[in-house]
Amino acid sequence: MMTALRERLRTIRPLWWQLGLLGLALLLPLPMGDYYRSVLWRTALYIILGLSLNVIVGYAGLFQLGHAAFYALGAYTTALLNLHWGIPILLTFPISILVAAFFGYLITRPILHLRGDYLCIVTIAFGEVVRLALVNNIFGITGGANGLSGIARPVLFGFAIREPIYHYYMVLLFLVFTIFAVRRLENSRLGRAWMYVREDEVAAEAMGIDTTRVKLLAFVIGSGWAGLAGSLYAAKITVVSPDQAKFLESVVMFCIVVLGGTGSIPGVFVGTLGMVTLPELSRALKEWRDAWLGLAMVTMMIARPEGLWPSRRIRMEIRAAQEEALAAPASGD
Amino acid sequence: MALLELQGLTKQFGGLVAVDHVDFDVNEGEILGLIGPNGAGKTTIFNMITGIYPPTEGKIYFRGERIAHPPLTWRQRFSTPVWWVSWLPLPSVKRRWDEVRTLRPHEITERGIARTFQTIRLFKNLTALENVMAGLHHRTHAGVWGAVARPPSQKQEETFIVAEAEKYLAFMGLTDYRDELAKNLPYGHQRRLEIARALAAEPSLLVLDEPAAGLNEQETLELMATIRQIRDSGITILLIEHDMKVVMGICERIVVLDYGKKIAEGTPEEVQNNPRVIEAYLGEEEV
Amino acid sequence: MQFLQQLINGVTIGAFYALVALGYTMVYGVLKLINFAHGDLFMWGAYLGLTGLNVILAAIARTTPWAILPTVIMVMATVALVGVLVERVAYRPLRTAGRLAPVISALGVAFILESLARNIYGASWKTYPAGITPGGGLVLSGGVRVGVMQIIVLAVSFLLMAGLYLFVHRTRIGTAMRAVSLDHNVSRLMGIDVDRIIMVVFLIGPGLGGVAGMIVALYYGSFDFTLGWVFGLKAFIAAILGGIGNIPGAMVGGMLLGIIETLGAGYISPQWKDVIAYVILILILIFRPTGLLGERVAEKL
Repeated sequence: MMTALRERLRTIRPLWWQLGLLGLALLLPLPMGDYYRSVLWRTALYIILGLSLNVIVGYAGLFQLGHAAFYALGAYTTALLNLHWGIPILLTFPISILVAAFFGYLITRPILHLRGDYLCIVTIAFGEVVRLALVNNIFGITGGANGLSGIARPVLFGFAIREPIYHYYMVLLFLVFTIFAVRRLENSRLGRAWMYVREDEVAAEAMGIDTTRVKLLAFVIGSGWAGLAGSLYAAKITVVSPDQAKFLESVVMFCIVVLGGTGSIPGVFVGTLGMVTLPELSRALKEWRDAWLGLAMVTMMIARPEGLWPSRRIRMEIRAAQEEALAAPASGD
Repeated sequence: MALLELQGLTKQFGGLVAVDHVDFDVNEGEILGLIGPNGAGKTTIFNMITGIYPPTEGKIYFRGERIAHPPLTWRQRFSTPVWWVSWLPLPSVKRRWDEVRTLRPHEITERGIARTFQTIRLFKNLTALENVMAGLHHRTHAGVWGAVARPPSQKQEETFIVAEAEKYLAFMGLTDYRDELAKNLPYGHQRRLEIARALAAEPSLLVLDEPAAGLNEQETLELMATIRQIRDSGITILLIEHDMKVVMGICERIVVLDYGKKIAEGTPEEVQNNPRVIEAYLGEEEV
Repeated sequence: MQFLQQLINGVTIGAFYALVALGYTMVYGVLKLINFAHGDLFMWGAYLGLTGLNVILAAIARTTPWAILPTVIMVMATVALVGVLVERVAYRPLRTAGRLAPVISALGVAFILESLARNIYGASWKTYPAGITPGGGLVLSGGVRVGVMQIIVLAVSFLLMAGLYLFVHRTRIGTAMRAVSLDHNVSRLMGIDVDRIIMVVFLIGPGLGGVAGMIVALYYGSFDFTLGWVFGLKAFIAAILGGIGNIPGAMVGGMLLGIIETLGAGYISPQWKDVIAYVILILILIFRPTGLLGERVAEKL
């Protein structure tokens, strides 16, 4: 059913879709109260996070379960720059991207050669190390378990962005740019290199592609972008805390990408709606949030491992791998 | 100076000596065949030439540059000055360090060696065109900025990539399959596609690992003609093959391996009549 | 002498880690899957033990350590069955699904188990009935204390580990387990019922984990639902440290991790205790993924 629906939808010209969605996005918060506007804001923010992780997981095919660490690093960078040196919030954005990207480079450089599930574990470990470092008030600047508060509001031409609706529009602006950039990356020399590495790393390397560099770029870009999302968070909530780097956060982001549909932009939208928006709207889900997450993970892997709205290519890859595995029954290896 | 020189090349996996002090040269412009019974170490040699793993002993020179040598031990690293400063981004340091460290496969490809694989390693879920475009990666430069900002230079480069890829597809007679997924191509075409992809990397040395495996009579003859054409366009060819028709038909020189050792080298006639070769190998084959 | 005291404490914790690590390593051995849910099964052992003890103590209206034995058996059986259930529902359908899907499924199960515990039992700290564990202990020279509980715990742990080792190496089922961990297909050809063996593994591994949960809760006296996550991860690190898939490795790794962690907390800082464990994990995976005793598992591409 999903497939038939998707095929019908594909026949509509993409430009109409995009304009329609944009219009909807612009108009949606108007009739809402502040609470729902914040939910919208949160949704848009997590779509950005999902897209940033999608570059790592969907395009380059690397299992990153510590993504929230960079989200937190970006948020803390904005907080520290603003609280200690009074730097205006908007100016901190590019710096936090660089900081998060730099840490992304540092952390992933030594682990790129690891096999899939082991890479996964190391990223979890790194995420926890970052969180614990923040909790333990490393270098005395991170404020401990309660984090940092009192961050200023972003000011644009003298106008302070205070209400949820304006934060939403700001995030929306960044979201549009993110989608634009990500699509361009997808259809470029680099995007193709990621595809080749994902398909067959040895062959890609033999064809002259520096696989290490390509994988590193995916991590650095994805991590830096998560840092931006962190700054956007800091700008609205004005408080940053180590909880932003919790493993649960990383798992939510990971699920947004994988369950929503690996490698595809609509997939990230769907994933965010399921993993973030829905629990925000339903009180029952909120309490059982972890169970909902867990249930979604188990059932999706069994029923539809490629996600709800995967990119065509990833769907092919996963189905092909399944057929192969069934043809040659799994050994204990 | 030969295009490719193997000196004392040895590879040991644990207790198994897969390649045992092999010496031979590949001269520019020739078609050299590497033959021997299964397990004789042929693909292992290919893997060392293309940088997939380093030799245990011995060296490989390409255009006079040493591209393969045993990996440095920790003691050697500590006692080599350039290792200490290898992280500096200076060209002179880079040059000296390149001479000493183990090169990665993509760097070998950049220097002009491209290969195909014994078991076909195409990008199965990508189209034929996309597969060939992979070979053009190292010939082009666009990075993140180019991808997002799309300046005119990047757009030109993309057009160039597609045009070149189509050129190589046409050369291998695969134009009709341009948008077909690689996994859906008939076997013979997949082999040709792999060669097209390797050619797109613009090598001066093309290393083919059993290109005729699984091909029928007709396809084999076409392959032989194609290989000659490739050579005539200026590319040197080194190939592993079991099909003796191909080997005797197109190779100008042949090197024979058995149990990791070179047991003969020479023209097809010389090799055919070499008693050691016959004993090791050709005795069972129809020639 | 403080060092000796820390050492003894470290060994005690190490024994706990080792018990839980065994579960991880056995499952990885036969399925090549990292059972993220294992830590939560361990936690459920602690909760079920609490419930069991409360029920029994209420029934007999006395406080006595003898209530522990039947509870332990009950806990072991229950958690073992849950383990088997989890395997059937969440892992078996994914045997042929590559490496990522089972990992995600395992994480999902972990979340479900944790959420269930938190919602059923509440998020507050739970304490075990007082006076149920023997207090007191020995005082060795230099003021080093060894609690009676510590001795009991260590003895029980070593007995369990020794039992497991003998089981794996001296019985037919144990040998079958080792065969399955090497190659499913060949094992099938040799007439081994692979599914049955996997079920046995999921009985023993989680069973041990559940018992360990109850023992840990008895030892510390109180716990909350984060026990599963933190302990589970540490035990997992211990398994990797020793060489995952390798049973003696899990024991060695557990001991080592317990000792290093306790010494680190004592001499460096208690806050950074957890970080030490994570750093060990990262270093091991980067430099020696096979672990201290293990065979080649995480190969370079």
